[in-house]
Amino acid sequence: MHVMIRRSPIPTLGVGLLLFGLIASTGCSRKEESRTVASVRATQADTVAFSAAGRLEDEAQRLAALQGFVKTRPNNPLSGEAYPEIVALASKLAPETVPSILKSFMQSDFNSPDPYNAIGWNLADAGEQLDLAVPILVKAVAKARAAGDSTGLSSCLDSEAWARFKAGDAKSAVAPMEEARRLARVSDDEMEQHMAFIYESAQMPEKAQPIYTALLSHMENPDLRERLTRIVTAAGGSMASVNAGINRRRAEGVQPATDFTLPSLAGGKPLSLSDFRGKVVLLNFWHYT
Amino acid sequence: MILSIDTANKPDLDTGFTQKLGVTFPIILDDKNVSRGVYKILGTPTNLLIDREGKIVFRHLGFAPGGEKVLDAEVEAMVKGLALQGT
Repeated sequence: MHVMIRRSPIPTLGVGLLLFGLIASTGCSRKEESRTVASVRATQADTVAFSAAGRLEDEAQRLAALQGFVKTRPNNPLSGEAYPEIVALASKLAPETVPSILKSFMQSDFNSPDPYNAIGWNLADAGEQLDLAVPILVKAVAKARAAGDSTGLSSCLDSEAWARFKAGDAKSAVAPMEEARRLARVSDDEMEQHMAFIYESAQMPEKAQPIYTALLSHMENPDLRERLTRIVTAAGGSMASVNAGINRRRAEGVQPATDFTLPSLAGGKPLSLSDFRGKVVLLNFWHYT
Repeated sequence: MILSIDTANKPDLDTGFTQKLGVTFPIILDDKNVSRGVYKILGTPTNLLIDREGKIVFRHLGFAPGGEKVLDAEVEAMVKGLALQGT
C-alpha cells in the first residue's frame, strides 16, 4: 500500500519504500490496529516536537504521513473508535501546521527532494494550494536533478506537471511531463494518463490520442474511452477503425497465464491458478509495507 | 475471483490478517519468485485479469485513477465476452 511519500513511478519490488511502515501498514488485526494508532499518535507528537526544534524536513514528512493515512482510509477499515480519533488528530493538526510549513518550505534548502515532493504531490493531488505546490515541486525537481537519480527525478517531474495541470496551466505542464515519461524506469499507467490529460488540455489532442489508444489496448476504462471518442470525433475520424485497432492490439496481447502453486497466507493447502479455471480471475500483485 | 499475491513473501503477517482486513479472497505468498521470475512483474501494484480460459486479457501497471471502476468495467466486459470483440 502506498501512502504519503510520493511514490516513485512504480515502487520497486522488495524495496521498503515508506518511511513510516507502521502507518502505511494495512494490517488491521487488533494488534496491528493498536500499533497503527500508537504510531499515528507518536507521529503527531513527533510533528510537534520537530516543529519546536525547527527540524522542518522531519516535521514535513510526518505531517505528510498523517495526511496520507487519513486519505487512504476513507472507509474506516479500522474497527472501533480508532479511526475517528485519527481523523480528528490529522485534521486538527493540518490547518495549523500546513501553512507555516509551506511558507518555511519556500525558504528551506534541504538536500533531498523527498520532502518537497511529498508535500507538493499531496497538495497537487488534492488540488489544494496549487500556487504554493508548483514552486515547491519545482524545487523538488531541482534537488532531484542535482542528485542525479533519474527515477526520483521522473517522479518529481510528474508531480510538478500534475500540479501545473491542476492549477489550470496545462501548457506549462507539457515539458516536465514529457521528461518524466522519458525518464520513467517502468511504464506506469497513471503517468501515461497524466501525459494524455495534459496533452488534451494543452490543445494537443493528436498527441493524447495514441496514449489513450495504447492504454485501452491493455485495459478497459470508460473515462479514457469517452475522451478518445471525443478526440477522434472532433477530428472527423472514425471510432470504428480506432476501436478495431484497439481490439486487434488487445487480441495480440492476450497470452496464457502460466500456472503456479503457492502457499496461502491463511494456511491450509497451497493454491494453484489452475484451481480457478472457468472463472474470471483478478490476479493482484502487491507487497506489504 | 480475486487472487492476491504477496510478492514480498511475508509469511509472518498476522494469521488473522485476511479476516481482519475483511478480504474474502485468498492471499498467497510468493516463495518461488513467481512474480518476477515467471510473470516479469517490475513493480506493485500490478493487476492482471485472466479470462475463463486462463488467458491474460487486461493489465494494469501501477496505480490508475478510478482504479476500481476500471476493474469493474473490465470484469463485466470479460464476463459478457465483449473484451476482445469491440465495444
